[in-house]
Amino acid sequence: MRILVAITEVATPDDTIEFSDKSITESNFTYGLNEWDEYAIEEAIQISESTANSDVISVTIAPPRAEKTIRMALAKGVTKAIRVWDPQLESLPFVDPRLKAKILAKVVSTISPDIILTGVQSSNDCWGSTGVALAAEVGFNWATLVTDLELSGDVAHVRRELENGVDELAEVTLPAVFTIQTGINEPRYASLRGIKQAQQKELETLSFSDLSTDPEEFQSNINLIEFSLPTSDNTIQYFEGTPKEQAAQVATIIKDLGFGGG
Amino acid sequence: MSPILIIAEHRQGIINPDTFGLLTAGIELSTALDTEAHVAIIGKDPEKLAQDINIDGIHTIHTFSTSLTYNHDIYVQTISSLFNKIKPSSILSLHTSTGTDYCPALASILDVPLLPDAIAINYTDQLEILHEMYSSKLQAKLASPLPAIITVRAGVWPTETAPGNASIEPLNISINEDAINFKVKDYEETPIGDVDISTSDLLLSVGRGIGDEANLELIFSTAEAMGATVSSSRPIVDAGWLPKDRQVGQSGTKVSPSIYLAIGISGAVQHIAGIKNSKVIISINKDPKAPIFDASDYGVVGDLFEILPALLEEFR
Ligand SMILES: Cc1cc2nc3c(=O)[nH]c(=O)nc-3n(C[C@H](O)[C@H](O)[C@H](O)COP(=O)(O)OP(=O)(O)OC[C@H]3O[C@@H](n4cnc5c(N)ncnc54)[C@H](O)[C@@H]3O)c2cc1C
Repeated sequence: MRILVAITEVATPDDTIEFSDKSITESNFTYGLNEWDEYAIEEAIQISESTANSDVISVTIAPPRAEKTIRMALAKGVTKAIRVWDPQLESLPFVDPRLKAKILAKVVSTISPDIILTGVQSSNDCWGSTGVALAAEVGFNWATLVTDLELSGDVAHVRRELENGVDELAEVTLPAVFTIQTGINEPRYASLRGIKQAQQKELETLSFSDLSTDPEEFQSNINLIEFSLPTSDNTIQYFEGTPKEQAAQVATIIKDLGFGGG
Repeated sequence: MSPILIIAEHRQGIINPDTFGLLTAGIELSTALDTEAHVAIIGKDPEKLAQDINIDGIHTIHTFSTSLTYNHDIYVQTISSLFNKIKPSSILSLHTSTGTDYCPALASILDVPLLPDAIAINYTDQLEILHEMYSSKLQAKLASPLPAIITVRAGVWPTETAPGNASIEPLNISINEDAINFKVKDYEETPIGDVDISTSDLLLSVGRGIGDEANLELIFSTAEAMGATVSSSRPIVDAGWLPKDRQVGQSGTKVSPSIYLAIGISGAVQHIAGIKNSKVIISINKDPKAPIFDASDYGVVGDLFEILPALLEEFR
């Protein structure tokens, strides 16, 4: 079984974001693997470990900077990695989900996976849409928000996590794309041996001209007008002072509302 | 201008109440475009469901009768044919487990732009939406040509409605059964254990800022001292430190306590979705830019490992 896992690199959530109208200043970010993709990689590796003749190939649309993050995926047990980047992408403020899907679809057609795993979303872009767009692009079936995945023959039994604590149990015919939700498994840490081996594993880089005779087909149909800070009409009272003074003010509120024996 | 098409959301015979906010968003956009707002309902007994959303501002409700359970292949086929029939100026759906399950495929198949998770929609001389990125710390204003598919965040648009008299038009579409490769078998609800956080009046809620499972001790002892129930954000449950029935949020439990104390929780949209009905929200977070403060009444910017022990002392 050949498993493709589409993974992405993100800035960590507590990074301070500096930006202009049209671009984000990335130099002050700390980068890492997208949280959802940690689980997608683990799921892919677990499937490959329990299925004879399997390999796991990862694909990432990212500049060279991401290679450190990609090596971590290789260290965890991904067999081979592909990184796609092109000068055409340099000038874009982000890659929209349909464009991501179009690029990934070309990679799918060259490596012919049986199943594809992605994270539910990336914490930076928050599109939550790339997996399903990719499925439609390559003509695969799909299941989203997967918290349990069992393959049997050409069918997958999945548990999908909906809203309000409701799960859906569904069946999907392979080949298929699965978008993986956090909590589906316990992502492993890379072993020292894995980290060493990762240096020897193949990390192929592809540009648009490697993927298509017509690189013009990789156009975004979404334009960025501007970035801005979120606005809020919320009024909040901050408690200042030493931790002890701050705690005392919190306690006063709690006691005034009739709790904590106040 | 051709109509705006809104896809109503429902599960097992019940309209998702967030559909009313979606309808508001769609009607507003249809007004801006000076066109009609149409709705599609795909499911079992759609004419009956249509009655529930026959509100002022909707011109036509297209119904398609199919199975009780949701099926994305049927949605994609039905909406594609309706798209080709009425050539809408745009399609709107909720950005939910349902909307995000079929809209991206629909956008690829119809080859139209996809604008995910909109928190505002505008049309003056082009279609523009606001989309949050970087864990809600940045907003992007995005534009695209018409028609586009927009998934709309739940809980943002007003839900008040007045009765309407849209015409209800059953769709005559034949589904290609061979192209149905996805089937829902069953639904299951998270079983509730010994505590039901949805009925708790004082919640002490812990997030990833707690760092380590061993530190939960501090949370439990503080909760005990003040008489609070412990709940959490999703990563705490994902890590297996607390059971699923303690998870607050969109995919967990919606809570409505008198006081919600958020400790080391950043305030992701999916978390905020579960705490909106709290009377008072108090947040402790070391990041002054954490979005949780935008939802809070009181805030402490600081290290929870300094503030919680002091808070515990206050109740000893
Ligand atoms: C479809 C879907 C459904 C989801 N459903 C839910 C849901 O139901 N509930 C839910 O919670 N999430 C849900 N999520 C996940 C959500 O997107 C976030 O990933 C999650 O809420 C983050 O949890 P957190 O705030 O605890 O962690 P983080 O975002 O990592 O935030 C940790 C916070 O702790 C602060 N901190 C760190 N150390 C300290 C310290 N020493 N003192 C004080 N503060 C500190 C940091 O500044 C940060 O703000 C869902 C996601 C998706 C895609």
